[in-house]
Amino acid sequence: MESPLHHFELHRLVDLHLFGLDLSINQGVVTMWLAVAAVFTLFAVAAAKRETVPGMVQNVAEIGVEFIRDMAEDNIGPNGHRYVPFLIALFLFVLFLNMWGLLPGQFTVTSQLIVTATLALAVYAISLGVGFFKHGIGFLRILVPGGTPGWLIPLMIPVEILSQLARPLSLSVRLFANMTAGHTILAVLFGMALSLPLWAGWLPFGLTVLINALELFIAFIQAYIFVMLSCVYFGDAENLAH
Amino acid sequence: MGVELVVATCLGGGLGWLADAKLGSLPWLTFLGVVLGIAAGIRNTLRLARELERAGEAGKGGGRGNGGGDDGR
Repeated sequence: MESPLHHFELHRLVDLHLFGLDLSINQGVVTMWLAVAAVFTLFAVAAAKRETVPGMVQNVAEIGVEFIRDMAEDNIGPNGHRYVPFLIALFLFVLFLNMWGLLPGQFTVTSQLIVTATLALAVYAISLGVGFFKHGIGFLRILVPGGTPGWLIPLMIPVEILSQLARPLSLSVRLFANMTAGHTILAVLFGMALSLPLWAGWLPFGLTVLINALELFIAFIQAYIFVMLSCVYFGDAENLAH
Repeated sequence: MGVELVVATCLGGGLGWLADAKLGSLPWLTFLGVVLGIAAGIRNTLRLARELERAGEAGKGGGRGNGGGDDGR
């Protein structure tokens, strides 16, 4: 029987070494290209006609944009709309990759920590950039939450530094772990279903159906949480009220 | 949501341990780091819970992290 972790392995499709870097193309890279192409195509098609009464594709795109826009305005505040293009690209990219991984035989890019960590670091770098750009060195006040009694400040600063450092880490680990765990469970159950005789195999097979439905939900929820937390971090940088 | 706690604790402990290894003061900075990490983790968890609650019913999606430790690996 195949190891349930087998489908997380990367396989090189094209060997590519440039400037001393290993830039080989593996199936994860191809899937990400696919995701970019899919998101781009969705909006290219949706924006092609710009009808007052939207057609199906335009409707889907509009629902997505409004969903992200409301989230951004709720969490970031009046400047939220500036982040919408980035957030919607991030949301649809992660959502597509999560969903794509559920197709049989396809690779789950978001089960690679390096991918989620890159996304999380990009988000965190932007929030730091915005914070320092907007508030200058005063942005360091984020390390002392409002209402902290004076004698607690020396203790609060290291705690807050740690909690800030933990942000990009937990953002990336959350997505990576949820995807990896879910797909491992599915692989184990499928393996059981295939290796057991029919009279017992129907049980794990039935469970894969249920877990698949749960994974669909989680694929959406995790994309949502990722973008939602990005909003929260951007909001902290914008408002500095906490 | 459990991820926040695990990650912050590991980060605090890890940084403390690195500092210990450099300074040769072994258990103490690791210990301090873990304690600060737990505090930071609780802070992040509370903050996240508050934000998710504010986001309304969609907040139940914080979900998965609460069940089993599978996401904390």
